[in-house]
Amino acid sequence: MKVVLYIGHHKTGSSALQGYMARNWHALAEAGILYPAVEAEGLSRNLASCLTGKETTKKLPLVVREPHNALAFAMISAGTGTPMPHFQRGLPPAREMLRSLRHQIDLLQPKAVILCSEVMSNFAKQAPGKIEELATLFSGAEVEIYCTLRRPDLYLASWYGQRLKFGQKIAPLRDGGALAYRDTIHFDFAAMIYPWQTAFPRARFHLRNYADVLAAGGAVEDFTAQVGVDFPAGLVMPPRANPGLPYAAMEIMRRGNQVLNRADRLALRSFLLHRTNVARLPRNDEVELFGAETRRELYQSFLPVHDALNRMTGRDAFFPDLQDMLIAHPIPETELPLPTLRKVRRNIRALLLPRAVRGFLRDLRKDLSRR
Amino acid sequence: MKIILYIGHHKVGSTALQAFLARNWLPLARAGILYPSVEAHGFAGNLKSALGAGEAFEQLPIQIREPHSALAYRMIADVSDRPIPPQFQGLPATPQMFRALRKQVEHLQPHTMILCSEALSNFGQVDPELVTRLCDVFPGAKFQTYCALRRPDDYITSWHGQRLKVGETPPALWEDGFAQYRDGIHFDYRLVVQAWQDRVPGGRMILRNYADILATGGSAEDFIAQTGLALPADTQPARRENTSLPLASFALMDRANRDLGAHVAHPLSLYLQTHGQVLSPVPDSDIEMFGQEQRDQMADAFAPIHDHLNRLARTHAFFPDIDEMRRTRPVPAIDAARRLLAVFSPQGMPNPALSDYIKTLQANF
Repeated sequence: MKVVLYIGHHKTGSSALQGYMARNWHALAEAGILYPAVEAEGLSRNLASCLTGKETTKKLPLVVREPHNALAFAMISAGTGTPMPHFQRGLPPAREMLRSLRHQIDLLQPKAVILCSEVMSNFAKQAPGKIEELATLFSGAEVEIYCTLRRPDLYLASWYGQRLKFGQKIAPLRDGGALAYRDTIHFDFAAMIYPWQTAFPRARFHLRNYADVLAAGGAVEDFTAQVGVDFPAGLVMPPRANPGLPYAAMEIMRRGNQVLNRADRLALRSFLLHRTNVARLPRNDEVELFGAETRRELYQSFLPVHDALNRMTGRDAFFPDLQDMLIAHPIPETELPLPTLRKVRRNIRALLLPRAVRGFLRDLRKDLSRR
Repeated sequence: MKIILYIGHHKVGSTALQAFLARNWLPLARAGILYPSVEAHGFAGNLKSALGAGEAFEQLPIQIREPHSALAYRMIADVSDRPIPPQFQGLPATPQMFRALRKQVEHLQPHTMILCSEALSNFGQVDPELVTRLCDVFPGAKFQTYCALRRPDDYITSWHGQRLKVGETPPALWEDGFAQYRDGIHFDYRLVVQAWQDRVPGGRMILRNYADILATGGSAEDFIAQTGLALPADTQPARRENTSLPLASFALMDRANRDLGAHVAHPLSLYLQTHGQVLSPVPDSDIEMFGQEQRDQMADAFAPIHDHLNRLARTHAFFPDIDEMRRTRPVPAIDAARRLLAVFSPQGMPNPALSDYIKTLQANF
């Protein structure tokens, strides 16, 4: 049996890949490729897809789409005692999920098992023992490990946007704020991968540059082309998953997260993601989130990590455009909220926002206008 | 959605019914009739049937065959000090099992769901609130409850044999064995049925005499006929499951369990289940397990219980042959055991240790 572990990274198209596997669960299973559910909702939906013989066109619940994120969170929770994230509550504990995985493998006897979770990238720092646990679980299987990495400035900007989307109260990346990520898996990609190499010494690793993944057509196209699994023909692509906040709107979201309650933060997020006319905002590659000095320090800090990636992959430069990290974009994000807010003000849908969110936007506009 | 609750009793063909429902999981589910899993092994088994994956089961694992026994034992353990039987160890917590039921209903949208376990017969005695707790998982559902009961002398004999079969060492029936059953669900059937009668929302209980079930053709056939289940054409017929020990072997099995322990005696149990009935010189119907005194005690004690069942089933005699309880059979249990032992060939035993043990018994039983 072959086991393919997609271990990340965050913000490299994992949601699209997970949506693809989940939506095509039945066709994959019939071809001997198991994308295993780990709890009752996923198992029930997979049974339903067997009975109907067709994949649903409805939006799938999170735990059906991303079962192995639930598993990874549960494994981290079991290893560290930290609670599950609020959007993953009510699920069985990790041991029960792993039991489910074992039973499906025992009874369905698949040719290949695919586990796909960017949350597994967190194991290296938070719960390295869980990587060993997976190695024990799949001892005897032929293992391939796939991981996509993104140039760190682009990655950090995207991860920062993700944290803002989740409503976190965080410091901006500018003025050295990004340097706080240096000792984490969100910057030290080598430290994220080493424990997997140690635990799976015979595994075949696919370390991919996100720029190459995009050139291949996206996360789904690259993954299915790279790993040694014969995917059946006729699988359907899922709708676009997990859209990112435009850089131009990030400072508004960041400030909103500081003062709004959870429901209002969600309303603001939804508005900024889906109701702002992105075409009228400056493009991401025009907006500077770091500042030149922070970029220089990040670059210097990343050089040894890059060397390690080069050694791991046998390449001269894993990120051929690494020096572009040093180039600051023309418009500092601090200059953006006011023009962005003016555009928001002209958006009729803004009238439907909760009172607290409208008040926040009005106060922010006044505050910025006074400066 | 309609929910059919099969609540028991023990020793009335529940295993055959469960195996029928589990083996036919796929055609039933396609027809909108769900026999739901409650934990990972059962789910995997159902996925296997739905995909036609892997090798066919020679024997269904118990978690796939009897998911609702797992649920019932887990619920019982939640509110009492009764342990979960070893074959059901490692189960998820009850709320996770409830969640599994709800999610299957949500995604598979059956018109009928069947929960089937003889272990549910314990709820009334352990804590009647368990009935309510189970029904509350499905607000708005229409319920139908089915329960099969066996004339108590036959039932106790059969239940006692089940205990011997799995290695237990209960007080012997032919001494004063009735007393151990008198106050529980294995004799006082009011404890089995009343909590369900009182607490299941709507619907009248289908209460069946096991003799009528046998006349219908078996537990699955009777259950289908009584509950009005419209089965799809491609269901596989029910098979006989859970073979019993012949009555003549009870005293031998009792002795072996005490002398050897359950683990060592287990091959003998399997041997007797397979060959005992054929080898036994005395048919079950001629073997007396209780003695006249215990039979009279039993019949007297059962009279009010029988009245209760008559009222519940709206009949004059739920067990029309109830007077048979007082009639002793011609061959005492110990004599029947000796005659069976005499025809055993020690060489035919499953292992040398049991051959030696049978030789010893033949010399001094």
